[in-house]
Amino acid sequence: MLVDDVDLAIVKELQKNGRSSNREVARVLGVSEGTIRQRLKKLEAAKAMRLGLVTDATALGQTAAAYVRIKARPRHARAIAAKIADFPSCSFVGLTVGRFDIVAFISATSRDELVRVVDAEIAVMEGVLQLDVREPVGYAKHRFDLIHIP
Amino acid sequence: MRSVATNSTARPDAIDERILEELRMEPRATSKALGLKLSMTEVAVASRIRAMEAKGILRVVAQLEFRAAGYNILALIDVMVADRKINEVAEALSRIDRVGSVTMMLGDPPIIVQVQAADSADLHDLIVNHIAMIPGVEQVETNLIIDIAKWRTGSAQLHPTSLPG
Repeated sequence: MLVDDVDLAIVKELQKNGRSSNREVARVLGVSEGTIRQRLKKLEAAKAMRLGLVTDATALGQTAAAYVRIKARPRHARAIAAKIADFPSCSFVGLTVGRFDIVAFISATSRDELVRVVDAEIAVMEGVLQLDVREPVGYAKHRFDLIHIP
Repeated sequence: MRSVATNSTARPDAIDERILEELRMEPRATSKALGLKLSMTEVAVASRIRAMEAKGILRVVAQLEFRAAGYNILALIDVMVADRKINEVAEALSRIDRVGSVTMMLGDPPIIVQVQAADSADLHDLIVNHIAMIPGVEQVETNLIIDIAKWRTGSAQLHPTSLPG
């Protein structure tokens, strides 16, 4: 579904502060509290939006991360991506076309833990042919208001 | 009174951790509800949440399904850089609207950007007319995501980060 202007205005308010109450959002937008409640219900039911907690990676000790790019046997690629998606350490994984078949982003509380996930959990999966592990050294931008809601 | 430091290395304590755990499950839970659950006063919960927000430890935000936001294409692009500082190129990439993240890497490629686009023509425009036009961008390699198994953002660098607009 596509969102309309009222939906977008509500989303915008909740991007500034997702903990604003429906009453506060209603007051800012000049609509009724019931409208806010209904719109949010509709957006969440349609899996168009969710309210999410985002914590600072550094403050929470998530000091290690990597893009893990995988070449895999074609018939195993989807199953490998699904298995990686189950890892709490994985925030993104998808099938890709190009040089790789799967790309995942993995975070960990230490480099040792990152190495363990890559070596002991991903590299050993059936169908994994080759891993290309790339480590971030800094982030110039990281939008956290777009996601995929399954 | 608690002092509110704007220190990026500020770490949550054990009580903060319990509040974060609850907020992870129910981001809009009221301070009153959280207080009842954690045997704390509403005021104590609210002030801890405010302090964590002020320190840049947490944010509760509306997160849009990228398709609902009008995008249909997601890609990760390796950006090779020549004759210019990597962080200058990264900074310029950050200012492009359809660029979702810009990550500077150890070794090659020096930068990986995540982009979203409405369709393949829009992706082509983004690459050819915007990304490739940045001075210092030597070469790009696009990895098109054809199926997203998981994309959720519960953790980010909250300090350099900003929302659009």
